[in-house]
Amino acid sequence: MTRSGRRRELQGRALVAGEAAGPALVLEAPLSLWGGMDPHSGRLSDHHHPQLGATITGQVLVMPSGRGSSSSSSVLAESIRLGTAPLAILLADPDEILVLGALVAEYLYGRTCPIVVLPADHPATIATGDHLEVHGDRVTLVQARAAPAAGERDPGRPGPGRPGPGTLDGRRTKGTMTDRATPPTPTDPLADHPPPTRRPADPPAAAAIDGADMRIRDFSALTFDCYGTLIDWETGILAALRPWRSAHRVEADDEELLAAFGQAESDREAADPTAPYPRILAGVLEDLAEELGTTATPEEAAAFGDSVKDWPVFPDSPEALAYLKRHFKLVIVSNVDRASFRHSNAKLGVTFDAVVTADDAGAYKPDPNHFQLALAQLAEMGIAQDQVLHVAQSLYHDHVPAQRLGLRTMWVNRRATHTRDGGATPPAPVPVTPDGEVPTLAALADLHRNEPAG
Amino acid sequence: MRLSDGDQSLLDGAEGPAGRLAMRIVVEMARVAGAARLIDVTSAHIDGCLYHGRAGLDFAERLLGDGAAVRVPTTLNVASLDLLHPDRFRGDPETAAAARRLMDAYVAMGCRPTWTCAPYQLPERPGFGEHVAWAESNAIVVANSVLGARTARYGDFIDICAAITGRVPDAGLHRTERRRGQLVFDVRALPDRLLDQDALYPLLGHLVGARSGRLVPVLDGLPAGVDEDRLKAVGAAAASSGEVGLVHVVGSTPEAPTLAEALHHGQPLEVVEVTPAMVHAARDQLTTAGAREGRLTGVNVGTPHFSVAEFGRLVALLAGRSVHPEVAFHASTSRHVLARIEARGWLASLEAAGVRLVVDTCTYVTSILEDTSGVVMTSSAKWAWYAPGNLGVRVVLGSLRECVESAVEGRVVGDDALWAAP
Repeated sequence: MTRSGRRRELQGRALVAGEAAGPALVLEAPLSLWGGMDPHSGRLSDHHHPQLGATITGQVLVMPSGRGSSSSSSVLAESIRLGTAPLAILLADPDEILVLGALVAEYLYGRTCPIVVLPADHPATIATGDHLEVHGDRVTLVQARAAPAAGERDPGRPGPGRPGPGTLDGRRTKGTMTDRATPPTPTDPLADHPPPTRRPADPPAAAAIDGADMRIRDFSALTFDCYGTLIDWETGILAALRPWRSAHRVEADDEELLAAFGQAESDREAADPTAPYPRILAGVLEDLAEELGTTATPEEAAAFGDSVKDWPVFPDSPEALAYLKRHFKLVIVSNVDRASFRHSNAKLGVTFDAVVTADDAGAYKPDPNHFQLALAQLAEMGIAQDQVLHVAQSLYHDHVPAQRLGLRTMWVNRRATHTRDGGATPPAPVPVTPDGEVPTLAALADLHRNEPAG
Repeated sequence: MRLSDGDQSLLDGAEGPAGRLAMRIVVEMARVAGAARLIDVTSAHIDGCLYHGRAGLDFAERLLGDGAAVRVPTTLNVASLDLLHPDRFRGDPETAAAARRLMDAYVAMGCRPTWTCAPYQLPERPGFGEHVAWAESNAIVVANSVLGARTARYGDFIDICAAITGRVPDAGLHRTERRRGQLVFDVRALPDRLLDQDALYPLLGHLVGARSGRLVPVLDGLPAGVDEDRLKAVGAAAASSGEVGLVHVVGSTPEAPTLAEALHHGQPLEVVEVTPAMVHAARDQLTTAGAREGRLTGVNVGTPHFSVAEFGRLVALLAGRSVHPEVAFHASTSRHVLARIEARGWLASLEAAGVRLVVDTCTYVTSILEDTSGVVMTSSAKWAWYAPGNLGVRVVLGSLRECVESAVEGRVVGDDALWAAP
């Protein structure tokens, strides 16, 4: 099989501007998201559609035409909230219904799904499995095959150059994909050979394991970061900050608040490593107020410190944890105090085999204490370090320190669908490459489910 | 785009954050649609009150918290709960609580708790030429086609923004030139025997929608004065299988007294001859393979909501007989129609016959059916189109008579004479 890797620049019109990169999934028939896509699984559920069962999460969805219900806006917004939305949507005709869903999600949750209209003949040149990069109005197409013939497309599955969820992903393997017809050049941003530092917001494949030497079933224990990975801390933080923002007429939007939060939180944690987390948070609000030129009353600061117990779970967390509990020891490794965690634990539903908090570690991640304590407790259960996989959203708090200790890590890239970097998580200070990547915890459970035993 | 002073002042936040957000969204939609200005609407119909997940609830509660109130008369589409029969909901309590909060939020913004997908069956429906902002695909197509009112294909979120601002983009089906018929479906090749059957109309709608995509179809060759329930069936099916917001039916809908007028005196892109084979193919597409031989566990009618006249036909077809004990027969309708059939004494007789009335919601959008393992029969192409995906059921599309006979017998009964080749 020959692959040309030919690049084409397509000029479109952004209905919802944004950046994204990933494999193309070309719909072979019109699709109404409402009644046609399950926002919880990210799969096509329209029984009349030839690609029934295909996963759109982590794909750039190419829709030659839309169809159907006016409720599709809600479904798109909901899937953006749940992290199951496509990376971007390319259309042949403008579609107000999809744009609405993307706008409302951006307004409510600070993340969206870029939508671009391409001139009429362009969608036909894109085949499932091609690589697409969206930058505002511009779309870069890297064709996976020299001449994708009509009818040759494989519904719902990326082409040979772009393996699908739960399989080897060429983008993330370390030089194992040597059969590329077009070798990378230093200026070539082709994602097959990523630049050495990968931005946290780089969109991932739906689920990827650097699988040459790693299988999920080979691990015995999963250690988890909690806030940002299992608990939707950004939603919780914003819900707690909004009354203050309104009362003080703060001009910052959600993403700006989250970014300022991320910086202030890590500063406070480093400066006062033994302070309980609610006090850290109260201090963070004071710092935010100062940075944004306003104030916070002691009551507001205390209320913010106390808000952890109200932060919601990611909707997929309880079910995925219940599933993983049947196959692994589960350990919490979190920058939180024990009292606050009890509330979150009740929401998560599962009983953890060990819980390591900042109270126990006397420090905050990225300090390595947490990991060393967790590994010690696992060793008492007879589990060695090479049987442990650390699962976390934050490159900064988790992947960098865990890898320094030699732990293998799985990136739950909850922010893959966001338009901007980071959110409440500061950028990684050094280049870091997690050993695998999934968009949600549900996808991690699926990875296990779909991995052959043995 | 030119904004009026009122638009600009809303956009500037003169009436608070909810008005500003709503106007921002309307203006953004106008930009996507390429509209030159915004226009007034006289009413709105909201589809966003049906619970699809937290995003819709977050949006409504955020608006409400920001002080939103509708400024035009606004009706509400079906929701997830039957508030008159709350015990019929079989989903989890968290979903029920969230769905209830969503309903309450819209009512608190000043919407009328009509809870129907057939707002055109309410007494105060819009008149010919009125601009309205209606959401829900069947309501849209009936407003445009049957009433001659003008609405673009609105959906969740924009519907409430239009109700809050009273403004919509001057685009889509609001504009006269966009209402011109483009594709003609000539049904003269169909036998009269078929044209006389209610069961034909959802099938016609299905095949018209599937071929029309976003174009405006014209049905030509039907007897004049097709009744509103049949037009509703055409529209609902066409809006499910295609993106149809307006169907002209020559001799029956107000903008199509003649074919030439439906086409604005222009030429159609194509004339499609509708054959009996196409109708049969549509019927097969709307029936799950092998389902006719399966065990019948349910019958569902009233998608879109049953009208008074449709209940009249149902009462007549049942003719004093009862639904088989192993079949759950649901009929969905609005509170408004429920009150009217109760006044006629039909409600008591339907309930005595084993028909369960569902109001405020619809059996294909929420957890009402207790047994989805068997085959469910329906007279609605829209139900047949969406239910297999939404509920995981196997479905058989039939005429209302076939539905009733099957419900009484407790097995799928086909009316072979009706479907026999000519």
